[in-house]
Amino acid sequence: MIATVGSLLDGAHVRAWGLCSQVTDSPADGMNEDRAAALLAAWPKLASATLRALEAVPVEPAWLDDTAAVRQVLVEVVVASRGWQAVSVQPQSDDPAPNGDVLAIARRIGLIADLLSGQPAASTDVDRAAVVGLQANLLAPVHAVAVATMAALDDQAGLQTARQLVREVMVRTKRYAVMPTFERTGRYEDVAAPAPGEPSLDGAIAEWVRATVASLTSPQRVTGTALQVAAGDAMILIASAATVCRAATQLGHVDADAAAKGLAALAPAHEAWRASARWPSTVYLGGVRDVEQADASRQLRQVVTDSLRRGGDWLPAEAIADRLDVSTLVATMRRGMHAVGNVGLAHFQAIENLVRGRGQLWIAANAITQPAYWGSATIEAACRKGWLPMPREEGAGIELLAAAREALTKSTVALAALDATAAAPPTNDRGSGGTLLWEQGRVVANGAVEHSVLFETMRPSPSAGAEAERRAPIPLGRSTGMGPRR
Amino acid sequence: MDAPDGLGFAWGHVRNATAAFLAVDDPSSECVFLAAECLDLEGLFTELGAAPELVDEGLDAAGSLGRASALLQEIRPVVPQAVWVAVESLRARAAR
Repeated sequence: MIATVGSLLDGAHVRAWGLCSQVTDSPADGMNEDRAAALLAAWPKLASATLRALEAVPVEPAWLDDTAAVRQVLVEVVVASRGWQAVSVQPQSDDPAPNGDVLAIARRIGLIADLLSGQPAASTDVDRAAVVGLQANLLAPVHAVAVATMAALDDQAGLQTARQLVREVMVRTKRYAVMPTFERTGRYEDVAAPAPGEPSLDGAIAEWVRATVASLTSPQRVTGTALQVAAGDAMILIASAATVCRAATQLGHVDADAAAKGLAALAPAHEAWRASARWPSTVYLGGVRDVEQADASRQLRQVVTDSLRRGGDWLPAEAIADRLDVSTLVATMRRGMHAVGNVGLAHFQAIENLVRGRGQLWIAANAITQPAYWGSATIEAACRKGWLPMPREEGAGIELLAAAREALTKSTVALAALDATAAAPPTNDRGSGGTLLWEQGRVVANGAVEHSVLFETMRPSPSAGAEAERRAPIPLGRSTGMGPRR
Repeated sequence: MDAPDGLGFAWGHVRNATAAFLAVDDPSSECVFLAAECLDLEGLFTELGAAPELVDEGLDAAGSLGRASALLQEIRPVVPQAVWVAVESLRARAAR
């Protein structure tokens, strides 16, 4: 099974929940010291990994990212933790081994940071909402570890700095940890690193996007057939995404409204690619086929057929569910649409280069529409039904460019709409009691949901004057005395 | 290498078949898969040193593939086995 940000988060949350469960088991006397030392020893790795993950997807505009206060305290943890080891809980013993659960959480968060490292900045509303959810899912386990660490530190002497910092982490991460799980879901949980060539739909898509983009971005390798194959494959992926989206809606795996919007955006994207796949017979671009692209395309179609089709038609929802996990499949198709977006960009740029740039399309001589080019060479070529370099501003080329632009635009809209299906619908099955809750496979802090404060989470303590004002309110309706001296 | 004329005309018919399949908007997407196979076949033609010829566009997809097959049959000794097999399997699938 392919590792995704979502599956790594699942693992981190399970470990965090397990760690907190041990706290309530009240370890025997003397065990708390060992536990506290082990927890503290693991904090630097957890803080470093979390910092990397929080910084992996930048938010645009930058002032919308309000994790500065959390990141600041995590940096302080990394720096100060060097001193904790000097002030060991057990001065006689060797350096304590870091807590295994916390290291496991840190490892998973570190892997999430690696997976997210290539993501572009979140600049759309959907992406920004997904980033806020991701931050909550990253910081909830950190909050849980802070809760567990505070419990283990208890009233042990000599660890005031550590206690103060961990308490600060606990306080600053709480508002993320209280966020309900349905508000946390988003497209970043789909991000994965499938190995190209892996025998799965994800692997086939990864290899397809790699080989196709490589072919289309090389002026030497791009051909008319390569461009048409890319467009045809995009149609197949979009149709697959629509099939899976319909099945997921029918089986209740995605929010129906979001899925309806996704389907409404996929249909025009599919049609836009049709115009790009269907070149007029009078336009041609030669060159030998790119074997890697051809193989990747064939493999993609084979895997789609094996997974989602039978007897020349798409499988019904129940049959898809019998073969594959539909929730996982929806995530795969969201990744597939991002692959279509990448190919769409490479495809548009290739056509633009051929129509407006240094590249050169060919046109049947008898199809040239601009009288300026109806010279003797054109007439001679037309008589023998030959091909000529397409003149600039020829209608057929302009139409191909417009079709490529439309395919890119509609694909971008469709992938954003499909991304929105990654957000879960609101539910009411939220448990209660205790400091932390376990809700739909994720750790949630118990407390009032504090909606995100946009700019700053640090709240300065009120000034002494303001405090005094509050203690001695101005008596309205009575004389206020002489007033200020003039 | 100069390719026989028949290859260029056969390729022209395969191009027409591709366009004809892509013109069909069927919910099963079968025509898109068939068009993709036509493009695979066109990829094989690119390796034969030929260029597509402009041919009659009045045929449907099955008719265009039939014409391509007939033209290849005329020059069968110089047609690579992969091209021949691909055309015939595509015709069989399109006929279903």
